[in-house]
Amino acid sequence: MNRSGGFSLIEVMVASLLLMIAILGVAAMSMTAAEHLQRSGRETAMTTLAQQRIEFLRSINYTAPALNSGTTTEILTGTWVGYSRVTTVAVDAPRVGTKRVTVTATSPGGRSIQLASIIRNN
Amino acid sequence: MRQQYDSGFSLIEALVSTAILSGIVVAGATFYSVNSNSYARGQSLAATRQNARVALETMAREIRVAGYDISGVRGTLVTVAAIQAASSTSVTFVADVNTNGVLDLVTYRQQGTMVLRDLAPWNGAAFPASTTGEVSDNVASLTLTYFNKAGGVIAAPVATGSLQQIARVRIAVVTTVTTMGETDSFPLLIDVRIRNIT
Repeated sequence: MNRSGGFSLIEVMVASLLLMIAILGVAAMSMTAAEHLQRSGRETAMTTLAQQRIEFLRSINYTAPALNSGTTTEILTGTWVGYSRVTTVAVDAPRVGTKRVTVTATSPGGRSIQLASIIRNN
Repeated sequence: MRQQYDSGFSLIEALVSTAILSGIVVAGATFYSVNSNSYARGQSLAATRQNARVALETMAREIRVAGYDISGVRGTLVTVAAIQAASSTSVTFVADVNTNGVLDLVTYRQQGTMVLRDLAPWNGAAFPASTTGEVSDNVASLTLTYFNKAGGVIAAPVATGSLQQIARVRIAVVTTVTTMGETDSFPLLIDVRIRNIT
């Protein structure tokens, strides 16, 4: 019984390895959660920005320059630095007397979301 | 027969194992507290953004129908414009906001970190003292911008004679919250076209 007093080197190494794997797993989970939180924040921001643009286009006159046919790109600043917004207006689409507006907001991460709406002349 | 040195832990062994255990406990506690802090921060951020959105939506919905009045009382008022007073931090307008057939006088204004709404229904002869409700908290700034039909900005505060020209209102709300020593601010804005302008 003179060798029963402790663990062998191999046993300790295997135990440490297992512990390390377990800790890495928890750390990875935490990092993934943080990443997804940031992504979700950006999704919210992009939706907000696109919605703001559509509300603006809805509120102005049907014949205002911002509702002319074409594509407008905005590089946003301040709180929204890194975000950009592209607005495309198609006149008399899908039918005469309406305009189809498509807003694409892009986040600093490169992901984007698109909102579309149809505006009527009234 | 049991050997003498195998019967328990030595002082060194006990010390080392206590040190390792306390290291593990400290690591676990730190992990927990970091996560719990970020959860609390996320909660208050979400609440603040919600506040901003609620304030904006409530104001937009009512300002959009400014001037809506089936009772015809608006035509008898001193200022017949849908918007009765307009400054960069407050707006007063008449509208039957609850569609009960009675014209209401509504004011949205910032006071401290709150956006307040004053409501006074027409009592047959005048607008009595208003009742005040809180629309949103954690508001750092409320900024109102007024536009005419052509899209030009009307300088605020808007002169009484120019109230009639207001066709569009831009409402910008910035909410801020400080949690765990970190301050987050969230700006939101919305453009509202008034539907019942004359």
